[in-house]
Amino acid sequence: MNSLQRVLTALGQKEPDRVPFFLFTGLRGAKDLGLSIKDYFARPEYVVEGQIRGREKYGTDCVTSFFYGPVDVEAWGGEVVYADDGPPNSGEPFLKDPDKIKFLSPPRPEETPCLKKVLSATAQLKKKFGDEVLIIGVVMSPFSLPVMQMGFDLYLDLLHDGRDLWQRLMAVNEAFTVDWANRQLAAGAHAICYFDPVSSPEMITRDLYRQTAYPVTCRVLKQIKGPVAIHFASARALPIADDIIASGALLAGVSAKEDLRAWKSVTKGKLTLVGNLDGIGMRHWDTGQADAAVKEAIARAGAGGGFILSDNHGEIPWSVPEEVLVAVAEAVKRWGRYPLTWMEEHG
Amino acid sequence: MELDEAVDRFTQALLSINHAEALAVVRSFQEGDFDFGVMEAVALPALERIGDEWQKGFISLSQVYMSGRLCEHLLDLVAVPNAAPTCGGPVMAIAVFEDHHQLGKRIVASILRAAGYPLQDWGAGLSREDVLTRIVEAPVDILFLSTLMLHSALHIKPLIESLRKRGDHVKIAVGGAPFRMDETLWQEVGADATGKTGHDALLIMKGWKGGQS
Repeated sequence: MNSLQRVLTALGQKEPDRVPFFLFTGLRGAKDLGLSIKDYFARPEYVVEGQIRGREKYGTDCVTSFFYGPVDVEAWGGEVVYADDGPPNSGEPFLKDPDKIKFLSPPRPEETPCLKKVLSATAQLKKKFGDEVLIIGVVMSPFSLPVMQMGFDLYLDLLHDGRDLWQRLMAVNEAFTVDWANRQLAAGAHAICYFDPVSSPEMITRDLYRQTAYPVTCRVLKQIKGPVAIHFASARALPIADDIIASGALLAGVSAKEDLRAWKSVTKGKLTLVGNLDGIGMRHWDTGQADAAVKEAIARAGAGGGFILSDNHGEIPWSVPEEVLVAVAEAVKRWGRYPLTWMEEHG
Repeated sequence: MELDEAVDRFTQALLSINHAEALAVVRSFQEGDFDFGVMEAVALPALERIGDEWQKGFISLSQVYMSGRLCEHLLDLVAVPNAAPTCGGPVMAIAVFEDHHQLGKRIVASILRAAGYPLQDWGAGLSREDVLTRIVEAPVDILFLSTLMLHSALHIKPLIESLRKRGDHVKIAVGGAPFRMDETLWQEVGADATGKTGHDALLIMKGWKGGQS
């Protein structure tokens, strides 16, 4: 069974040979290649090489053409701020005047240099791995993108006080997200990760979610021509699990602050869970804690398939020790082999 | 209207973003004598309760933010007493460190303003050098620093080391997502305190103010 088959079996709510394993170590590619983070993301070839080396080290069942979150706002002319020891961040929001939303038009990925690099990396990963390994493309949801476009406070003001302009912004963002996702799929991605942290009940009420984010997600997912994972970037989402299922998503990222067993009881047979190792906590783990965390996660959600072990944020911090990541990878092989007979032996 | 009832009704008005009801509550409390004292008595406990509810996962961040914003609108209707340094209050500033996400900064500023404590807004996207320069140009007793990314939070450590090395004893309180995720991170970076809610910032400030007086 190859990695893609392993993942697809889990998505089919069946047990593959072992629990599939994603580890989003994009930044470590720069370390491995001896490059600064800015230089690393300057060329798609570097990102591809980083993914290849990461997979060789950790034996993950996916690779990703994800560069950094703000690429989705860089495409609109937004600023990206690079750091020496962390993921690139979005700079000052470019939509300080909400009235400018009236004149906004979506960027065309095929004509936008930063997105063309991502598409090139996707195509190169496809050429290298074909259908052996899951290739994941990433988009920011139209609903969460405005946090980088205009700032969180102004966006919440708009959401509550400027619903007409908000609808106009969603129309433009939706057109972009659908196009961007489908172009990544056409370039070779097998699935799309749809980052949507603002939809979390930590961020907005369930009522507001149902009125705003949920219809956006349903419309967008219907138009994306491939399987979609919704990821909340370490924010909680269990209270909207039923909505996630109804939206058409096949996978959901689970926060380290949530109980995988509780998620599994709600989503069993309907949604594949991805998570939920605590990336920030990993900085202080030793190899024994890594082993215990993996074992615990598998015990809570591994039975019956429908589970992929991963971190809970989608980006392993730069400062997590290498030996911890290796220990996580080894623990998946130790505890993730199906059938999970050790669970019965341990009661 | 009893205080408990006023706080309950005001809290519900904030959570449902009902400006008219919030105004009606503070206007009807103390027989229509709507002043800063009413806001302090009613709004602060309500904002504290809302912060606690968010911390427990019962309400959303948008409700916390909109509650602060609504209180700011109400404060515009009354004369806010001056607890500035000339009146014995600490000199305070707030900044978003190496980031442009300003929501946390606005929530903290709303609470402190509702309590009658003005603070300087140093803005967002400040680097270590920016902070070191600002403190020389405009010394403060207390600096609130907000971050979003883990590496930015970790960069507060060399900032504080630089401050201490040059003998600056400004109190540093840190907040933001990384500090919520890792409860010992504030100690790791050498900060003097951390808070998870806007009301925590008020308590931290009052604690330090008390210690200094």
